[in-house]
Amino acid sequence: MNEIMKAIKIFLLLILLSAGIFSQEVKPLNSTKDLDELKESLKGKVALVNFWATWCAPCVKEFPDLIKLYNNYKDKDFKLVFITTDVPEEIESKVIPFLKKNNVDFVTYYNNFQNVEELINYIDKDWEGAIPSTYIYNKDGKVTSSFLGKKEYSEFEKEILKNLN
Amino acid sequence: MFKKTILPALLLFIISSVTIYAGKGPGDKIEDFTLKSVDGASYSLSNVKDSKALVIMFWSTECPNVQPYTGRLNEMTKEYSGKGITFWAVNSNSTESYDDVKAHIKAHNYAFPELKDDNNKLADQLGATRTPEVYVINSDNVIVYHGRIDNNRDASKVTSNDLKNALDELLAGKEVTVKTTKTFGCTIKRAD
Repeated sequence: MNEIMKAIKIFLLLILLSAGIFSQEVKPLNSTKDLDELKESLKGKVALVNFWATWCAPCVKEFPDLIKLYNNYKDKDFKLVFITTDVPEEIESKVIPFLKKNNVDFVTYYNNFQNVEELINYIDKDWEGAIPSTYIYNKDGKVTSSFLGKKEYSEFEKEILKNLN
Repeated sequence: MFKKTILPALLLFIISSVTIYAGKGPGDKIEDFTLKSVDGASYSLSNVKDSKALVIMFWSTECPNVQPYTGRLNEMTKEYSGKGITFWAVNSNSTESYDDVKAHIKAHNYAFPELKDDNNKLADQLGATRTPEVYVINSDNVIVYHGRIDNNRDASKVTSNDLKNALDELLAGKEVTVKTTKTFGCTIKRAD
């Protein structure tokens, strides 16, 4: 009997552990209304918004540095927001496994706009959609800097610290 | 003092900065340029004769957003070259060598040349940042369309053939209706 109880306990523990470790939540961005809500939720925080995709090699290379930033500043007024441009059909098969591998334990957003130009122009009218692309917002929700292409940890950190202080 | 010397210098700096970084779009005339093919031949805008338009496609041997278009662009080139349209793929990525481009052309049996844009000069002149990113230039060297090829890298899901639409309108002697479009793609890796 004890053996059965022990097995049940281990089984339950494993379920809890897997739920905790693999809780990658992904949410679609369907319209500019969703972007308004996301922007509103970031007010009062310094936010780094990174556009990426699993198919984008420089994005994948840059990803660990962004996670490092998150770990170093998550206890400050800092938010890291990933928006993937992977197609919705590949969220389960490609994006979620990638997020798990990189221990992302916060919500990741994905592009689900019917017209992708609405998303691109909402973020930046001068942006043609090349990724990786990163925007840093101050606590008032204004963009203070933007980066096109893969950048170094120190470049992002410098901008974040400028806004946090 | 400020008005006489510093202000004009500042204005000149701002204007020159805009000229360098703003890039070009529909309605803008582009300056002549010369690109090299992998076999050493020169391709100049001024040497494009008897063409109704030149399509410049910023291209990459690696970008996963370019690869689904290789077959589509081969077909388009075959279809439209008979109608007087010239297609050039332009590789401005400093990370991709002449040998990479040579292998890429061979692998896809391109119906168009893939040219190297050394030191991303043409990408800088146009302000191109993405692959694939296309510009349609008419016989007066004026950009009439800038943007994506179509609206889905999965050919079976395309609902808007933006480049084809622009070319069809141009060939019909009409003004291009949708002059700019956007989509996601890879960043052009410029030389440091």
